[in-house]
Parts: sequence; C-alpha cells; structure tokens
Amino acid sequence: MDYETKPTNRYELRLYAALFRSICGFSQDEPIDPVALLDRLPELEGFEDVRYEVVYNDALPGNVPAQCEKSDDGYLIQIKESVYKGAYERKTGGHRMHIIHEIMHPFVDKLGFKPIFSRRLTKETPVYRRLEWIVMALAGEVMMPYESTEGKTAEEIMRIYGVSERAAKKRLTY
Amino acid sequence: MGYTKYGEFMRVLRVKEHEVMGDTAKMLGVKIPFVSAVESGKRNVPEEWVPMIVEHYKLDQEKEAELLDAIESSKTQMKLNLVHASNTQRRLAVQFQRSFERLDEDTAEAIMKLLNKEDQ
Repeated sequence: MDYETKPTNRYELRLYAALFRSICGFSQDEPIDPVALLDRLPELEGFEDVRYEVVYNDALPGNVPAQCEKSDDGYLIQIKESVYKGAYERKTGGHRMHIIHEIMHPFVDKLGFKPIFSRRLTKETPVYRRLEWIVMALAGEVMMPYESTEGKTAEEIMRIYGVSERAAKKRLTY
Repeated sequence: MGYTKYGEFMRVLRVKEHEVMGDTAKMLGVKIPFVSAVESGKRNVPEEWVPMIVEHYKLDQEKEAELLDAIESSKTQMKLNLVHASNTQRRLAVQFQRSFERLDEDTAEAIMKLLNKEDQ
C-alpha cells in the first residue's frame, strides 16, 4: 500500500544507495545479486529483524509479485515462487528488481520514511513524497549506481548490472 | 516470525557455501516454497533430507549432530505411537493433546521435572 511520507530527492537517494552498498560490504560499482542477498540480510547491520519466504504463486494476489510486511517482530519479505525462480534461474532483470525493491522497504522504513497517516495520498501528491516511488527509485539507485553507469549505454547497463531494458533506459534519463 | 533453528542452520550454511535457497530446493528435489515453508517452521523437516544435506555439504559428525538438534527443535508436529500403549497411557496421551495449548510455563516445567525423574 502506498503512503505519503517525508520528501526526498535523487541526491539523497544516491547517498542512501551508497550507504546500503556499504552496509552490505559491496563496492560502489559492483553488480548485486538480490537472491544471494536475501540469505545474508539477518547478518547485516540494521537488517537483523528482516526475514524472507518464498511462497506459492497463489499465496499472494495476482498483481502482487512480492511484498514486505512489518510486525512487532520485524519485517517479513514474501516473494512469489515465479518471481524468485525468474531471478534465480533466468536472472531476469525485472524479477531481480522486484526482490531488491522489497529489500529496500525495511531499509527505507529504518531511514525514517514513515507513513503520514493524517494525509491522504492524492493525484497532487508529488512522487518524491510517495513511499512506493521512493522505494522504487532507491532500488534502481542501488542496482545501477549513478557514478558507474554514467556514460554507459542501456545495453551495457543491462549486461553489467542484470537489470531490465526498461530499468536501464530509465537510468539514462536522470 | 523468524526462521526456525533448522532454517537458521541452513541459511548460515548456504551463505558459507555461496548457495541460495533455490540451490537447496534443487539439491533436495523439491519446490522452493516447500523448502521455505520448512525453514520458517510451517512444515516438518522430512527425514530423508538429513543424509542429502550431510552429503551435499560434507558435514562432519559435529555439524551433523548440530543439524539433528536443529531439526528436533524445529518440529511443528509430533507423532505418538500408541500401538503398545496401555489404556492409562492412551488416556494420558489424549489428555495431554487436549491440554497442550493451555499449558502455562510453570506447569510445563513441573511436568518435565516429573518426567525427567521417571527417566533417572
């Protein structure tokens, strides 16, 4: 579910992406495998309370490839079997992005992007105040670091970082 | 929420061996959601998995004992063999099953003490 939250911008998101890579022990330009990252989460600083499950496709609604739920015990990421298999067996960029997107949810929450329940999301709410947009944009920044993708073609970005054509082309526009 | 002791054992093993849950599912010949359900405690660990895990990860005796202990601690269901049980034992088993969810910690501790005394 989408919410209005505190505003951010691309500059901040790039700093958060660099912070995330640093927490994971990745360099600022190497490609990330979200599937392998799932098992490492409880060992990473700030992610001790994040768990994941791969669920049968009918366990989540048709339009939900994966989700992250927060409870008193922590965060539970649930990933549909088809999405996990796509990322694991075929290394499909879109599926890999779905997984990193869900990993970003607890990170963004811990960074203080809490839902502002007193305000309703409207068409006028700018994207930089929308939780889902922030998570999506941060996932892109994490998978395709700005500095190291500068000057590269969409094909190169796709090949090096294992993202979809759509994501690579989007990277070139900002 | 969280992983069972078995789930945690397997997670650590995979990280060490640079494997992922998909690899575990392939090795065991089952679907990934089933592996996931077992690791999160929704299903029991199938007995036939033990030798497969021991062989695949080349676990030494100490690690194998750790695996068995993790499996024991992660059990979600237990079976009681009542074939040779007396009527009193059967009544006790049924009563225990009925009362199990309502047992408070103190009563559980007291019963365990009593049963341990019987073993000695």
